[in-house]
Amino acid sequence: MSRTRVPRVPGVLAPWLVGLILFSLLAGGATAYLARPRDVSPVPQSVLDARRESTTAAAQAVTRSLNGGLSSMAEVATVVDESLKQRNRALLLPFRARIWKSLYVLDQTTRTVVAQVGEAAQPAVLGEPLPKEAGMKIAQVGTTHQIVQYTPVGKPAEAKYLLVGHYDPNRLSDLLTVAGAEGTWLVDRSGSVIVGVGTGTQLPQGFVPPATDPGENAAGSQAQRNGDRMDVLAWASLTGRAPSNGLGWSVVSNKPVTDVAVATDDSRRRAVTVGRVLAVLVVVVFAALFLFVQRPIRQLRKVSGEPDPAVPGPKYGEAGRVARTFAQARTSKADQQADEELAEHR
Amino acid sequence: MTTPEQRPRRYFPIALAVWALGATAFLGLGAAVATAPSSWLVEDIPQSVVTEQQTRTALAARQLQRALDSGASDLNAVAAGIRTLNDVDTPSRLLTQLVATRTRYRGAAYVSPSGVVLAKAGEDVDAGAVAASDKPALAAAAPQGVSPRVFVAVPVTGERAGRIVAEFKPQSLISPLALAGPGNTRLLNADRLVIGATSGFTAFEPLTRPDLDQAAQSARTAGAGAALHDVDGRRHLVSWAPVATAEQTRQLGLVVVTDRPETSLTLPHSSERNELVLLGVLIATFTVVIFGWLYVVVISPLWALARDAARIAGGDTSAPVIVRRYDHLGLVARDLERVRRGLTGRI
Repeated sequence: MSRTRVPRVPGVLAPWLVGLILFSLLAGGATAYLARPRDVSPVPQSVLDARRESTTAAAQAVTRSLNGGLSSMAEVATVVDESLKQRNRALLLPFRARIWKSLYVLDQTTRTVVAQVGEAAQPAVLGEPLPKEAGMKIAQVGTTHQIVQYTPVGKPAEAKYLLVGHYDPNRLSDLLTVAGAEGTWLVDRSGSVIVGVGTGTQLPQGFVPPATDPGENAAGSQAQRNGDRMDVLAWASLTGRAPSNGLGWSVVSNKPVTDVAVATDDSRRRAVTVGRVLAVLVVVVFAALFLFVQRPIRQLRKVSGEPDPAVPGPKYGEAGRVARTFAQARTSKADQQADEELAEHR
Repeated sequence: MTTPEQRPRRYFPIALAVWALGATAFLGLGAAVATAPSSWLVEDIPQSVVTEQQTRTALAARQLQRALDSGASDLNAVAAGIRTLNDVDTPSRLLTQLVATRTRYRGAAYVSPSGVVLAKAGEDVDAGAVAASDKPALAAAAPQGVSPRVFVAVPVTGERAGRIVAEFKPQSLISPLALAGPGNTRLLNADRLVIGATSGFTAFEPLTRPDLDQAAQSARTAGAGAALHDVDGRRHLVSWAPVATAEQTRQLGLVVVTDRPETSLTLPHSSERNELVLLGVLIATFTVVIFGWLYVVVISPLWALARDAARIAGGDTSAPVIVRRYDHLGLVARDLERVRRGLTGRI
């Protein structure tokens, strides 16, 4: 007896099976991910962010102030250049009340001061060789730090004179206060304090802000315990336009905070609840789909087209309706055959 | 198969009902997971966050005033040169240098007391926009055109008496606003019309939100401040500060207002809320895909089979049973079509 191979008929189980697997994976994966242990900072992240944003704002304001001072100096240099050309004399007197403690014109060849207003000129702080382009640097004058700003008088390539101004760093205090009146410092790349507001002149625990390339921005904040209180240390490098952004200076602030984050297990509990609800729904819905959709279709397939099915067909729903039609057709056919046989006997 | 008296029994579409209930349950769960956390995961915004935004907004206002004041300083330097140096080309050269070295000016002009332009650099300046004064002064032109116009003027005394007037570029008014930090920071004129913002804006547009308008009024009457407002179900942190100076001639009535939605704050439950929203979206997406597939492959063909079976059982064998797929339901449809043909042959 030869057996012919009947091609396998695809069922209709695929979407049900794929759905069951996908939803089960989603329920399990989501529960595991949402219930993962979360890093809980001792200080709320929004407070850490606010400290960083305020310190960055202070750094930007300091940058604007320093760059603005240098631009103002360029404007003064224009007038000085004009006066030197017309009168062979540097006109500085109208600018004595400006932002510089000391403002003077230096002959680059002889290093002599040809005009000055304000406090005594200190050309030695510029070092050797004299700068050829506009810029600024930090200098020790007596016992204090001063920011020395300078710009050539006339075109840089052929400038005979250099206009120099000593900028008092304390003018930046009100800008630093924005980052925290309790303790904010402008520091150079080695961590030395140029100017500070609040208590103490040293950074907390010798903190040195991360080094950055010119024009690159570095800002951050971190919580640290200081005795029985919590402090937030924030830092931001001077950003914005040159030349301030190339100095490598940073603003660092330290501020005690009262907003403390409390670690709880609520997130984990919520995640487990959501995962359980999803899992229960998956079981209930897909079991119902199997019992009321997939199984009746399978039963229907077994009785459809069979003259004498071995198993009873489905009774209810759409599949039941189809099965009843097949049953009626079988009954009708049997009745007709019986009628025909009776007619032949007659 | 049946007589008119033996109408086929009505049946309840169980498969369709189970499918619909299942899809609804999953979509409902997805919607609940995505939206419910925003109502029950509400937490206080720390007071220090509110205070710090207020401080930054005040800083932005102060820096803007400084930028405007330094305009007066710039022009004073030029005025000092004009007053002291007698060369006839000095005003022109100094103004040209001013506009070249200070990028904040659109143009500058040196005008005589009678209003004649004696020297100028950059674009034309409407010197009449600033009233004559013996002190440095600021003025804002009436709203017209596509950008705000703010002027600074200083007197030139002595033999070459007159005035120097310069017009600021709009960008020089906007750039200090960035100091207020994240969020949208607007600069408003005395009529509370927007003349600058860190995000996109239309010049001289009025404020559409009452809370921002209230903030602008508070800035003028009570100084800097901050408050939380509910806007369309979301909290917004709004802070404000006046752009003020002691000099009466430099008062423009400008106000800075910062608006920051809570979604831009990293609150403790922000990430959890976002993750739950993502989970809700995933549940909804999976539901649409899987239940759509189920409908196309199982529910719809089964429903069509039941409808055809009921029709045939009722004696209507005129229309064939369409076999659309090669699967279990397709084979059942083929068998049903055989039944229909058998009945048709007997008739």
